[in-house]
Order: sequence, then C-alpha cells, then structure tokens
Amino acid sequence: MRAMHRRRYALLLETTGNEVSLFPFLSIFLCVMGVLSFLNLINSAIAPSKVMLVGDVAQGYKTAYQILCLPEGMVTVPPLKRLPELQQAPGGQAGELVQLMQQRQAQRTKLAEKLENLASVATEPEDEAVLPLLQEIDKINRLARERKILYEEFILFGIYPDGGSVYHKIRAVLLKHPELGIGVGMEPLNTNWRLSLAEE
Amino acid sequence: MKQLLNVNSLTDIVSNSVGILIIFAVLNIAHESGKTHQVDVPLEHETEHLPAFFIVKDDAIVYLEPERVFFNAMAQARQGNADAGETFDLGYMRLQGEMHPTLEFIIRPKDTVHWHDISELDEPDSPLLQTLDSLDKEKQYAYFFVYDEADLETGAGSGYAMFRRTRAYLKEHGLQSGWRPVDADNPPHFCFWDDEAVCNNYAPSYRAGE
Repeated sequence: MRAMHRRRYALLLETTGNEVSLFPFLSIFLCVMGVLSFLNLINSAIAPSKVMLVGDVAQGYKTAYQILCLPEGMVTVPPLKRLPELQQAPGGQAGELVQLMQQRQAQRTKLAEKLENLASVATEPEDEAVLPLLQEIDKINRLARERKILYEEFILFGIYPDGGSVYHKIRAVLLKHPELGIGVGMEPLNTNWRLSLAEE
Repeated sequence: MKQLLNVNSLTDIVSNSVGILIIFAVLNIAHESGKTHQVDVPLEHETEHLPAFFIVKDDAIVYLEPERVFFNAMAQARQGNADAGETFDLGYMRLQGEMHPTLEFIIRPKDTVHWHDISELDEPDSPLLQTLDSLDKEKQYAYFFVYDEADLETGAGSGYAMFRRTRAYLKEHGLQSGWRPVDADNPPHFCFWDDEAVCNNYAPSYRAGE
C-alpha cells in the first residue's frame, strides 16, 4: 500500500512537477498590454508628429531641396539619395560632385543630431548664404542635363508659424535670379511637426 | 525522497520577460512607423487661369471681391485720399488699403469680425461655401494670403488650419490653389503698374483633384 502510494506520488510529481503555469504569464501579459496601449495613446496625443515633405510631381524625377523657415532662421536639408547616380554618370566635374556629396552628408549628419531642436541650427537667410545655395542647385541641375540623367532639384519650403519673414527673404533672392530656373513648392507646417530626414 | 529542482518560477519569469519584450518591441515599431506622415507638396506652375484672392487670418477667411476692393481703392486714389504711406478704408470687411512705392497696393485687415469663420466649412450652403462654389474651375484658381503669425507656445493664431481645410475643399471640387505667408512686414499686396516678377508672383501650386 505504501509502495503504491509512493508510485502514485512519483507519478503525480512526474505529470505535474515540471509543468509551466501560464496564469502568471497571462496575467502579467494582459496588464502590460493594457499599460502599453494606454501609454501609446497618451504618446500619440502629445508627442510631435514626424513629417516628411515630398514634392507631388507627375514626372517623378524632381527631388526636393528642403528649406525650413522658422522664426529663428532657415534650416536647409539637401537631398543626397540620387547624387551617387549622377556622380557615376560619364561627364566632367566628378571631383566637385564628390566634394558636394561629402558636404551634404556632413550637413545631414549634423542635422540628424538636432532634429528635436531645429531652432538651434537655424541660420539667418542673408543673401550671402542664400545665393550660393541656389547656385549649387543650379549647378546640380545643369550637370544632370549635361549627363542626360533624369534628375532635377527644386526648392521645397516648409514654413512654420512666424517663419514667413524668413521665407520672403529667401524668395526675394530667388526672384532676383530667374535665370536659375529653380522650381518652388511650399507647405505650411504646424508648430509641433518635426522633420523626418528619410528620402523617398 | 530526492528533492527535485523546481524550475516553475524561473520558467514563469523568463517567459514573462521574453513575451513582454517582444510585445514592447512590436508596439514600438508599429508606433514609430505610423507616426511619420508624408506630406505631398506640389510645385508652382504656370497657368492661364485668373486668380481669385483670399486673405486668411486666425480661423477666418475673406474673399477679395474685385469690384468692391480694387474699385474702392481706385476711387479713393482718384479722390486724393490714397497718398503714399497713408492708409484708407476700403469699405469692405474691415479692410484698409495703402499705396506703397514698391509694393504698390497693400491690404491690411483691421480685424476679422465680419469674415467667414472656419465653422462655415462644415455648414452646407454657408456663405463661405457659396463663395467657393461660385469660382469657375475652368477659368480661375484660388490664391491665399495666409497670416502665419502665431502664439509661439500654442501655435494658435495662424491661418494655417483654415487655409488647409479650404484648400482641401477646393481640391475636391476641381480648383487649383496657391498661397503665400503674410504678416505685418510682408502684407498682402498687388501690383497694377509693375510687371516685375518680384511684385506680381501669384502662381498656383496645388493641382486640383482628379
């Protein structure tokens, strides 16, 4: 009888001893799901949205050179994604293109560190700062035409509230140089919209 | 009897931790990917259409009826009430005019008391919607002067919200639109006697809906 009890007990231990109880996991799982969902809701409501500006162009080859207009000044976001394709196409001035690409990469890297505080990297839109930027875009566009690459940069203004005066200063420089033939797009941005550096 | 090592607690804790981390990672990825909005911004382009001008300030909008605004201005000028730098009442929607040496004809709103409110966009057959519907999409496009001055902390005060909604309505109804930000230093202005691009640059940038 005692042996039978021992066998039964051993069998009971065998069948029940190593089972994993799911109850603690499920209870914690549901609690955490509820808390995370709540946190997500709160986060969505109060956190700034990221915004990626892209030009709505039928041709599909125009690429935006973004200029964000803040009350503190302008922040430039040069495109980079398709420049290697331009640089690899046969044609002169390859060295200049490489240098330009390196400058733009450095600019974007610096900007990536300051996405949460763009005002800290905003610069005054003086003519001496704006005109070289326009000439750079013009040079890229000319090089693309010479190398028969379907690529053209245009300026895309993202205008934050109270950034209108910055926009007008830059636009005045553009209007003084119609020979550059640079296209323009513009969009009003909300105060809590933050830039996304992802390129299409 | 031999004491077996009980791994129940360890297994529970490990499975809880792994499960929570997986859930957290999935939620984070879903949350981050959903929070980047792509805003399509059209380009300015040439058009044969004529502009219909609007001014947008705070959550209000006013249509600049050419017969009322421009003719009133010319009448004031003929009467000698529109000397350079002096403001005069346009007798329309609390707007004032000013002749400027380079900007030519400037419009400044005194206030938006009689303007159309943003709520009219939600009311069928409201005066604002009647005005927007009266535009001829075959011959006209809408051009907005949007005041961008806002409370820097709350973002309130700029005309952006009103402009976006009006633009969206027009796009649904087949009308192109363009805009520029304006403020006290860069007010809405028109050049009647100057063809320079610096002055007359009202181009549509948003194409109409298909």
